[in-house]
Amino acid sequence: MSATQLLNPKAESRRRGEALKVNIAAGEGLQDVLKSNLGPSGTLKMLVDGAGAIKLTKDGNVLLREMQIQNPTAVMIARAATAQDDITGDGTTSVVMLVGELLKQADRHIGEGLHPRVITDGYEIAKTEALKFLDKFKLERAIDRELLLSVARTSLSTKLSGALAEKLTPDIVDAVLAIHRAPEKPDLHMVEIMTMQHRSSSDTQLIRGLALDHGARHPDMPKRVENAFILTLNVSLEYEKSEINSGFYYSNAEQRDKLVESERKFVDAKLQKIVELKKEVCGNDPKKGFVIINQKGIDPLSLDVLVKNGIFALRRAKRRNMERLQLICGGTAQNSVEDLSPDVLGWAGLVYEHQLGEEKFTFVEEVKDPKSVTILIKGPNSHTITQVKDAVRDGLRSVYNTIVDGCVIPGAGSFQVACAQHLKSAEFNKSVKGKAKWGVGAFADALLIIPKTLAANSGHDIQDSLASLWDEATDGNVAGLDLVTGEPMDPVQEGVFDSFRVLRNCIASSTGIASNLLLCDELLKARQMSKQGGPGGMEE
Amino acid sequence: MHEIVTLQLGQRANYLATHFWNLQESYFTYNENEESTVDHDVHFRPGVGVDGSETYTPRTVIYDLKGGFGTLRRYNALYELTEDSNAGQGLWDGQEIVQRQTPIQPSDYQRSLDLGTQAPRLTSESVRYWSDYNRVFYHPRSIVQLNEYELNSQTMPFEDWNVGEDLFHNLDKEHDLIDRDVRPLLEECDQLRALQLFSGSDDAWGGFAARYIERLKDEYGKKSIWVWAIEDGTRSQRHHQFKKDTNKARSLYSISPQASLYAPIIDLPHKLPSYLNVDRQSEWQKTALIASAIETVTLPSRLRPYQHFEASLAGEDGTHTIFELQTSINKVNDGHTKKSSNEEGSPKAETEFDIDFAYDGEHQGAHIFNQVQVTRGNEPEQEGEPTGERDIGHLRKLRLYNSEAMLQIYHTPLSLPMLDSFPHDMFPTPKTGTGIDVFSALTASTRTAQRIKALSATAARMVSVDEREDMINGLGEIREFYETGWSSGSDDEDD
Repeated sequence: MSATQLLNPKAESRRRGEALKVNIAAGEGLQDVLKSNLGPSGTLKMLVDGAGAIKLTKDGNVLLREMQIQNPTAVMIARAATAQDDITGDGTTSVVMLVGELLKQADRHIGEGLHPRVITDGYEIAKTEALKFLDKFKLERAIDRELLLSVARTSLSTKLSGALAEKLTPDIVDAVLAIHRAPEKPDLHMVEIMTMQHRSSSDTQLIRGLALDHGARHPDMPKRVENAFILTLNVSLEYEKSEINSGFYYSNAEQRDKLVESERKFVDAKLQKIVELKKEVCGNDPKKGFVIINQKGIDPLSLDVLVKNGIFALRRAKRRNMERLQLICGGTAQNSVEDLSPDVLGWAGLVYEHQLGEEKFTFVEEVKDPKSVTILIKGPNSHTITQVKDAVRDGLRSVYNTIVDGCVIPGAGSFQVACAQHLKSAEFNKSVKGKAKWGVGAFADALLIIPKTLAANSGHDIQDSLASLWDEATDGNVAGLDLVTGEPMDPVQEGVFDSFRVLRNCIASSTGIASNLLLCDELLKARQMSKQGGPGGMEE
Repeated sequence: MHEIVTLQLGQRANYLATHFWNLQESYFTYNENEESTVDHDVHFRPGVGVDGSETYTPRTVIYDLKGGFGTLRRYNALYELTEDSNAGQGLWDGQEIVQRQTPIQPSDYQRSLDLGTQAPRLTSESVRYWSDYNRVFYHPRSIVQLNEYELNSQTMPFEDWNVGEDLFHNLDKEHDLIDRDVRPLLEECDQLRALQLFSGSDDAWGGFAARYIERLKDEYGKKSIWVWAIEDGTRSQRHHQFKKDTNKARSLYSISPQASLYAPIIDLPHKLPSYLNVDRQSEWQKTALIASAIETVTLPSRLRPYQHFEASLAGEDGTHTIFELQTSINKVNDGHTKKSSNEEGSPKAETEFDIDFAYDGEHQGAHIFNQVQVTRGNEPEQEGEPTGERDIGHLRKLRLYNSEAMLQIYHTPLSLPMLDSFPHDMFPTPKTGTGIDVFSALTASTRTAQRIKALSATAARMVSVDEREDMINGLGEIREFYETGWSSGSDDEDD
């Protein structure tokens, strides 16, 4: 009986070797699930949930979030991996692979009598060295469109088919370039992602303007406005029933009507100011249009007034669209109608509404210098749309990472091979004293899981591919795996690049979590588990 | 017009709200000449399905954890045309692997709804999820699954208040939840009347709801927010109970000042009248009873013609926003309820109820500030017209001058229908017709002050130092509103 069981006899516990086995098995189990995902030739996963709904994904992050995971160790690893995605936008699968492999390699050594602590010490040393090596390995090149295209293509091709990835790559790069104002970091929120269930995914496009997911709420409003002044508002044009909260401001029906009337007048006065501004800038010129995009509500009576004056109005726009509109059309968003003047107005060449079933969309286009853009994703059904959307988001993040890092890492497994070689080099090994050496060695072996899996997923012989990569790297070349031939290739030449921060985080967090799991010498659960599938063979 | 948009946060809330929507659906009339007394546009939105047919779906957003939806799919028959057999085609060159979770068989009840056959009688055993007895089609946008946590997970339970708070912040940072989920529904409303929230308040959902409401308040400031804060009524271990009480205190402290109606609801009170037959093990049965009370008491907000329900809630000066929900079944016919009042000319607030959802019958003998009574069913009309038809403002003033409690009485002949999605033997058999007569009320009284006092005593022990002072002071301030002048002086010793 363990000490904890003395304290709480109900607690179930697994100790030492057993606890370690449970953890290692969980790590390997999770690795097995995600293994086939890695790389551009991995498999697409179709998740069917209990209710029969479909989700298609190649993204490890999506997979881990949507799957039901019962094993607590696996939950921990999955958490660490999805955190990786939150920070860097990619690399979830790699984290899971690496954690699983670090545990597996450790298991081998533990079987030979090495204490887990010694191994984790070795992992720690190796991690520090690997990060140093990563810093040396990175390519600091001028960040031009060409490079960003390669980065985005590398990211997209792991999530979407070749043709579609090729189609979306320039859109994604141009989107980020449009919003990027060096030296500031690009704010990806300024790329609006709008989805439309319509036609096919290849109709997905970049709009240099804004797409809003709602339309006018009045049948007589114009559906198309050219040469439009845009007024961005955050002013309620709804009649607020203040009598709700003030039952005592009136004592008879007549007084109440008066109150209602004066409330209405208040709204009318606001409308009047807007209409005056319209007259001031448009005069009687029928070629000029006026558009209001309001974050607050506009009630039917107000819409009536606006229609009569030829104004196109949208209500309850997204908060972020207020910011985006200013970046796209210029002008300043107004929180009141007091300071209206022609200076606060933005401009767009074309504003039009598009209806699809019950969904309405409004497009603000033909603008002068958009500093915010929209990626309009189309697809025939909801799951393809989600799949493209996830991929686009990852693509945007990869371009963002490259711009912020100011460097890239040659991809296709070249870093992992080079780093493993470096960790195993006699030169570095001299500096590692004692048994921790084996830990460093295990770490180096674990890194190779990435090129190995890439080869396996593309149907090549793992050992052949790895050997030729290794030889090439020994000659001092940067060698990545060509997934088509299974031969070494130069990733820089081929334009296969990974993000620096993705790799950095991946190495740091997988080492951390693997070490923690290895050092666990007691598993303890205090509460009664529900009957369905206890974790990792902990059932009595 | 005068739309109400609903938010459902959490498993328990969804059980409750499903009953609510089933009841709403039962009021639909399909005959042109027959106009329902209930205005359906308040709670339902017209739309167009993928095949161009007209749809009518609830104005609601349903949040639940992974595994909470059962057989309910986001895209239902109205919004997804056909099943795509080779779904991945075209988007991926490589292979495809299918990962299937154990399929959940649709319940017999759902199957009979699909086929249009006679529905089998539901039992506590046959209801596994709230979607098992759901009769309504939801719009795909209404269904939001939060994948971060799993339902009833032991490894990562969704219990701590802060966990819910953090989850909201994380999701909001990434997606702007309000803009993504509620805003599309609000955009459709011509004149939003209120936001109605069903939420758990003693688990992590309380924290989630608190932050949600804070953001709603920022964005839609002047709109009414009605919160039905559901508390677990089963007794649990001591430390567990403390945690729940602390969570309740946090919810009360953070939510009630923002809301125009905050009603704590015990799921389920221990004191129940003997004429009720409820299986306490079954969430489905428990929430059915609660739903009957909530649905009754909010009925005026969706009746034709327009009723000034909010004004009644605001009471004297709108400071009392915490209400107790109480109800009696089939009681109205007994006639003891308001008989005495007629002699004095104006009706009196009611204090005797069979079921007290708020405080389980504790703290009796309170001073009442404000009460909204709703009776439904075959009550013989009493002499004198109901207050609703006279001028409210005037009547209120009269009552204030007489130092009487604010009181508003609504009555509708529409009785509570007995649906087959309800537990069939929960209520006593109706005396007439097929409906149940229900008498429900929302009351603001000094009982709330006593309740807050008890809660803050627990919270003071459990909450960490940095949070404690703000919270206890905050609760104290809320409490002051619910004390009458002469009693407030005596409580100073616990500061």
